[in-house]
Amino acid sequence: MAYNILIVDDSQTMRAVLTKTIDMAGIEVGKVFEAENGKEALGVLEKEWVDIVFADINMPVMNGVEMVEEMVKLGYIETTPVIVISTEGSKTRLDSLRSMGVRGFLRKPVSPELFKSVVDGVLSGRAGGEGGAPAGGAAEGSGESGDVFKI
Amino acid sequence: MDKTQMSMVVDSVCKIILEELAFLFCESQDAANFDYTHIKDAHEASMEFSGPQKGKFNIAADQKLCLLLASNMLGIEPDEDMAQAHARDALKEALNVICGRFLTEAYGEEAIFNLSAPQIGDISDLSKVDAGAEMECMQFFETEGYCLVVRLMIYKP
Repeated sequence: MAYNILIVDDSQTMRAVLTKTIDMAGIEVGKVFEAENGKEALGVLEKEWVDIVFADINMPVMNGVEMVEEMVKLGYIETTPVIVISTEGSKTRLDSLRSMGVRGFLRKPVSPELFKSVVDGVLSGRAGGEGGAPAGGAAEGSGESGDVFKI
Repeated sequence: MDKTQMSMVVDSVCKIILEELAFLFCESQDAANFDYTHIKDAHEASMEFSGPQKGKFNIAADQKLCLLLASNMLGIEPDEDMAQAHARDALKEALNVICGRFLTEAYGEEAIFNLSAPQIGDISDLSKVDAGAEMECMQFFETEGYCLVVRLMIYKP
């Protein structure tokens, strides 16, 4: 199964590194979408089917926490798993993100092995899929959630 | 945390992050012997943080080291155009990761900090004292024959 992926990070370099890490981790990828901030990411989610979102926290315009809050309001968080990849180390903030529905957390820098284990854990917890409707449409999901936080 | 402890944490975090992020193995350099002329052809990035403590990080690295940083992060050769295009952004991202890791190491997992987006700018006079800083530490490194300087300033609340 090939997954459509959305990478949300204000650093062009980090988006390129993550794309490479996804490739090295052997994850089968359909389309890779990129966004520089949460606002852009919400725009992508409105139009495109995305199987998994990798998001930074510290970004201009709309940060990762604000993006997740919007995804909760719009109902996207139930159908589109989010893995936060950040320098963030605050357990308090991570607990808050987890309670909002974020399924996984990885701390930068990320090794391909750890990346794969977290992504596999998150994706195995849902029956999301190739194709289908955008997150803003009538998306189908199992409602089950993998929840993998690695600090 | 006193200045010595802070310096030790900054030193340790920088070495770990640069190794994990870009396979760069840094050696600490003695501040007294550091030649500032070595960082004239450099890029400099800075970012601020606020929360239980307020402060600012600066990092300055030789331009060629920035190329190496970008190329190692991306798994490409330093002479490729892509490495050139990412060199400054790679330095910003390295600082972002160093700052995030430092804050957890220094203030613990319960503390919540807000981080500004890292900014790249012209090289500043890092030896100049910041009068507003309550505490300041500067760490000097050498890796692959290039210089790297990291400065942390902690401000009064």
